[in-house]
Amino acid sequence: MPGSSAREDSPLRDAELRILLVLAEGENHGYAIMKSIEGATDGRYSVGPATLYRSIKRMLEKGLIAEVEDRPDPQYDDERRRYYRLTRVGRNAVGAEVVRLEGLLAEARKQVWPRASARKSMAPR
Amino acid sequence: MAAGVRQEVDGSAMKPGSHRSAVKLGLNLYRLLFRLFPRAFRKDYEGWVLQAFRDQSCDALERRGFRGLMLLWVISIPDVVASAICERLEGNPMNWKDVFRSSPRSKPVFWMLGFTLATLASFPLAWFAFWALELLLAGPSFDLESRRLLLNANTSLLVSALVLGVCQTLLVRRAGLPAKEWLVTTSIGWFVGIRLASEAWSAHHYWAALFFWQRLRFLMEVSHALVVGVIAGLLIGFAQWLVLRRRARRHYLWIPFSVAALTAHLLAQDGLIGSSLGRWIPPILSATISAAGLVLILRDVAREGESPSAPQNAALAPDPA
Repeated sequence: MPGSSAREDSPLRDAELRILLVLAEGENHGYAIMKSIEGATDGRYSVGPATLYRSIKRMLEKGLIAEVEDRPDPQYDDERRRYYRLTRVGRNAVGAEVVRLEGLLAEARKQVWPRASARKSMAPR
Repeated sequence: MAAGVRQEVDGSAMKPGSHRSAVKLGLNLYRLLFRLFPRAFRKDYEGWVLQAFRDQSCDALERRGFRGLMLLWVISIPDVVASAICERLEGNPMNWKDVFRSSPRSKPVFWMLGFTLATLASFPLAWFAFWALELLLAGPSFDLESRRLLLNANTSLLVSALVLGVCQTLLVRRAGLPAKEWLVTTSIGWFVGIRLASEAWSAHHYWAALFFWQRLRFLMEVSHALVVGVIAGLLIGFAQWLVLRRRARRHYLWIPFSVAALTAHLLAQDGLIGSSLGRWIPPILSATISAAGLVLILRDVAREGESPSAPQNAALAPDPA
């Protein structure tokens, strides 16, 4: 399965994957990342500041994200903030994780609803 | 969105009766708990984490009022504590040998874990020891009733006191305390403390039932936990303090920690009646409080052969800042 070796080397945690997904949309700062995660899940999932910055630290070390050196347009920039962006390695890791999760979901569907899954695979395309 | 409240917290426009002090209190509490993180992490991220928490507090206050703020605290406190523990364990990969070889001075977190595990292990071990004693004295052919007549509750308590003493001594001697003294004082303290506390429980139960009756059952249970916890904690704590007083500078902290541990145990036990967690959470809570207290008291005490220099591990060590 693509990405499985990357997964074994450095498994992505739930909070990390969600942070990477937010950063896939564009560079952002810590508090905005927290709010985006909460907004995207209608408040069902939230990341606390401690978990957020622990994840950021881990991902910086692994090269999945990087600090933004060029500050955004001063009109939108908040000088008190530190902005982060997704790196190429991070984008690949997100892709690999999504593929892995899709595979897992397909596997789970086969196990839990074998008939429905067989019918779906036999259906004319 | 939360700019208005944030401005208040930052120190400008303050309306009378606003919740600025509540946000500040939460921030101070968070800052205190953040000290559980390793120093290197604090140095790099403290400002950012506190800023995010402050923004979150202001938002919660603006959107849901004081209740929202309380809810945020309930969520954030376990988050910061659990993250700090994980960060520390990640920085020091777990080696089980360390748990039983470390001292409060060299590796306080491992020693604390070892002490907690040893205290918890003493309960099932005491049960096995008592069972073995019964078998030894009465023989396998003896029926259950005869065994109960042969060995009464005091014997069971004595066995549990001795087993607890032995288990704790294995860890405490690594902290530079004399093994024999700790064994004797812990065993006697536990036996006398629990014996008197159970007498107090009977007396208190009678009087509390008269005063509070069924309508205030909650108060009755809380007061019961407080009375019994304080008596048992004081007696056990006093016995062990006799060993600590000549060897540790912060020996005076031990009796309050002992009382807190026993009271928290009983309060948790009352609160979790009927729950499957009720069997595990109270002993874990009391053992952890005791272990944390001992680390705090014994981290300055160097055991034989240990250099009197600064602790190798920064865990729980005071921050020079």
